[in-house]
Amino acid sequence: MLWHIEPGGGGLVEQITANVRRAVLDGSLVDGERLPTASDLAGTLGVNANTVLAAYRMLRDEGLLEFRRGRGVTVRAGELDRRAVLEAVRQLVEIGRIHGYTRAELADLVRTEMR
Amino acid sequence: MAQRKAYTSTVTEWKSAVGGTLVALAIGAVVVLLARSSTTGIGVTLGGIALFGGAAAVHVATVRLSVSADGVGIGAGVRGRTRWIPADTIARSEAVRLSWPQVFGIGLPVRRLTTRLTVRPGATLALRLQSGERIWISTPDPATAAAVLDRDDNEMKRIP
Repeated sequence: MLWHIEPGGGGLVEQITANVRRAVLDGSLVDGERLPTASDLAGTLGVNANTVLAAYRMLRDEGLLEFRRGRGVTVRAGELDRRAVLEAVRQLVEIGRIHGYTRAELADLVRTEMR
Repeated sequence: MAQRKAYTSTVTEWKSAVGGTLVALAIGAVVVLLARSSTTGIGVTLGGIALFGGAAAVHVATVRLSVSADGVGIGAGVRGRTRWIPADTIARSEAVRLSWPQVFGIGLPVRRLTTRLTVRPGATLALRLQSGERIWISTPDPATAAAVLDRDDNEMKRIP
């Protein structure tokens, strides 16, 4: 799994959790796959181990990760509801159509919002 | 804080873990039969060997990899010691594909010291250190791992 941490991209905990959610959505992480230990990931990203732990706990509380003694931190991909994202996309397309936006204009809006 | 990219993977090859457990059981069975133990003794001994062998097999059937521009961390087992290799000690990194014999180091000629954290054939990250040591690590996307190290040699190739 590839991790990206951007300066000015929000808090580190939020960025780490976003990395995991994105990886689950694009299939880089699959159900049952193990994540690195907090200390390993912290050392690799150059952040405090407590920051990684806070991110892992947040994802565990959302039901996306599972902590198991002897097995480490594993992904529960089935818990991430893609339907919520797809539904939001459908609403965006519908509203855009009503207001006369083209596909390219909607894509530009999304890109601007994601910067 | 500057932008950081990192690559991590944890690969467990369950076939290797099961195979290792079965081998441990088979060796244990031979030892116990040669020792002509009682039935109870055989059961207890084989159970102990299966437990220990199984735990050891799962440990060596799991490899951990973490890569950043600063270097590479490698380890065996779900948890445990991680060996850190600073980027400036790495001469070359590339994505390669291993065959089964190469996974276990079978075959001649013997070239030079190779550290294998390989649990299955296929996609593997190959490092060559300034010291001459070669390190092979099983990972799903070795090209991305090599790219994070910011090396030029990340073309997938087969090791000769």
